[in-house]
Amino acid sequence: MRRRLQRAAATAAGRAAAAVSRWTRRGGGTAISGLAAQAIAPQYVPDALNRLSSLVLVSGTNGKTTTTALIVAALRAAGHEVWTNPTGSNLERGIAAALVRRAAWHGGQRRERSAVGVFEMDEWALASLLPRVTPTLVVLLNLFRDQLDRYGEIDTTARAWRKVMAGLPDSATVLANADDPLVTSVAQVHSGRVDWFGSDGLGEAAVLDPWADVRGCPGCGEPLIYDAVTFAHLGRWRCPTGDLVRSQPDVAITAAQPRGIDGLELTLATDGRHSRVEAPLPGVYSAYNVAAAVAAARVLGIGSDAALDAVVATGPAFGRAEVISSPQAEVVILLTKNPTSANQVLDLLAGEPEPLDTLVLLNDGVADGEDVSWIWDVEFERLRPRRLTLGGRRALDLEVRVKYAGVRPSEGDVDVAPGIADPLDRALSRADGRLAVIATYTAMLAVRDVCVARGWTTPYWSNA
Amino acid sequence: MTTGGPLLRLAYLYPDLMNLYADRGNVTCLERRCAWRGIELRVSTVAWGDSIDEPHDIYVIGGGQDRQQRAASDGLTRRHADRIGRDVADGAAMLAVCGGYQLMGRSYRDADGTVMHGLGIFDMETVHPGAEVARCIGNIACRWRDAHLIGFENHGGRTYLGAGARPLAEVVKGFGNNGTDGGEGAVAGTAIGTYMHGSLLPKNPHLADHLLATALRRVAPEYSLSPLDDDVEWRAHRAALGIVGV
Repeated sequence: MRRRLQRAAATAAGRAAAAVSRWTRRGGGTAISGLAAQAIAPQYVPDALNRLSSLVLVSGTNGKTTTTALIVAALRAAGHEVWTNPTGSNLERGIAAALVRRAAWHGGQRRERSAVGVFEMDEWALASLLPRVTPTLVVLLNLFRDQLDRYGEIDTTARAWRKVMAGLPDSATVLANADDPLVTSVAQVHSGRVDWFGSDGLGEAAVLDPWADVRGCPGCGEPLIYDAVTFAHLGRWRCPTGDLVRSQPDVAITAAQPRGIDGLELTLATDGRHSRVEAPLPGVYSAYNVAAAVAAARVLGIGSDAALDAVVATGPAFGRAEVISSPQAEVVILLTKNPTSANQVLDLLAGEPEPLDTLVLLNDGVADGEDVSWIWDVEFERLRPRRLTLGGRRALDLEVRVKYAGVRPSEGDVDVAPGIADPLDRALSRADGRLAVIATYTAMLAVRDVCVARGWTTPYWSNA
Repeated sequence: MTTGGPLLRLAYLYPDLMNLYADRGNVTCLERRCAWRGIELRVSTVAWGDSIDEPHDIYVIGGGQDRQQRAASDGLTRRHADRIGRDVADGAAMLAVCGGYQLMGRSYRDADGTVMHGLGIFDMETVHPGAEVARCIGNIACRWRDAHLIGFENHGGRTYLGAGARPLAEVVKGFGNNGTDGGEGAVAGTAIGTYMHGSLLPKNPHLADHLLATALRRVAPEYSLSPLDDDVEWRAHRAALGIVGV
């Protein structure tokens, strides 16, 4: 009873904090309400998660928000009540906030027991939470170099994951990316069921790009041999000593044909059946997210046709190739967080039939990474924009990068303006139909804020 | 391609192991600054198992994760010590950044206590105080000659110079070699080592040209570097200094 009261008090405190935050227009209250609840009941999150009928946790460097949204769509289409954190607030306090919104005010458990929880988790938050919960399914998407000043080396992240994998109960299923050798080295530690998603027959080059993060076997350290590379260090790899063996994917991407920034045609092979779909999600990287979601649905007992139908009906998550209509142009916001995601976005733009008006925004907040060195591993040499505008707090770093990449817009000179609203306005005023906005995390949120303030879209947390 | 200008041979060491902080931006920077002046810069990338058959005028190496750094230490000391040592003693320029910088000293004891041997180009030793001790992370600004250098540092190891090396620059904001003696980087003859990435050279065009001038002294002493329009670089340099309050 005492615990239930504590829980009810924590929920109430969290809701009050969220209300104040929204009322004062400080934001969606996605973090503050979680902090308030956790302050009153420190075990608020694991307690609540362990009461759900099943629990799915999704982690990895890139694709967490999208994959989580796709799994949620598949579950909801199958009639499940789903609790999730769609705002991308993926630390423990973000999950606390999502729970605060859903929990019964009296601290009771009836509603939790019929719901499935699907939560995206920050890589380090997963390592900290996993020993305290009993998940049904843990989805491991990929590990890329990302914000080294905050996360440290990816070998360190992989080591932390292996440690918690060793303690994961056999009742949990792990779903992992077979194309990522580092993720494979983590998933293989699990003694229970491991399912795999990955590619089969995809990718032509067998040579890693100079910016790829993993080159040696995570086990023995010998250089890996690639029979095919899809992008970054993902592909069909082999360890020369046989120290680590790639698993055959249960859900395999057998074809992926990008359609510029609008979408992707892909074929998935599951249990001997091939299904071809057109997804409204761009880039080969999206094929991995779709494959992960279909494989997750399969573990949760949802057929792949039903899962694919739900995926196709799901548009991109906020800021991830999200299209916002402004009076001057269609704004396509493309979140980039690290060399891998930025190079994937440049790949998308290169696939467009005509050069696009392009705005690149680089911020150096804690959530972006204060170190902006990574832009030198982004292949701006491939950028062929119509007009090019640069902005954000580190706009001048971008200007140097673009100068050394020799980027030549087909119209006008490179335009540089610090900040967010000013470069956006300058880019929009000269845009021809469509403006691609490549933005780091806080810059992406800030651009959305400008679009919200002008009534072009709704806040990202309003659908939460 | 013949440009009519002098030829510089650059050896880019271990890009497959040591490119943690996009340090290849330093090579891109030198390539462009040479191309703009009609200097032919021939870049050979030296992978771990490769041999370096010819002398080179510039050596560049970046930073890496602990494990890759151990492999780099092994490759450098076993395969490449003679060639690099001979060229640098003969006036070749060197830019060694972060993990690569540590390996150009005498030794590096990492967080696990493993001791890696270096090439000893700089009289210095680096010790990692242990994984539980905070790393030196953040924007860094230094005094170098009559100007500044700006970059970003992220290292666990603390470097202590011996009598045979002197610091490259004086820390104004940040940690530098060890966070205590105010020194950043090292200079020994024509070799430069530093913890600064960013990438370092693009926003510090004076240091980029210093490296080129050093290398050119060896191959074409009569050649002088023509000035470039570095307005974009200097504005970015000053803006980055402004961010750290210098």
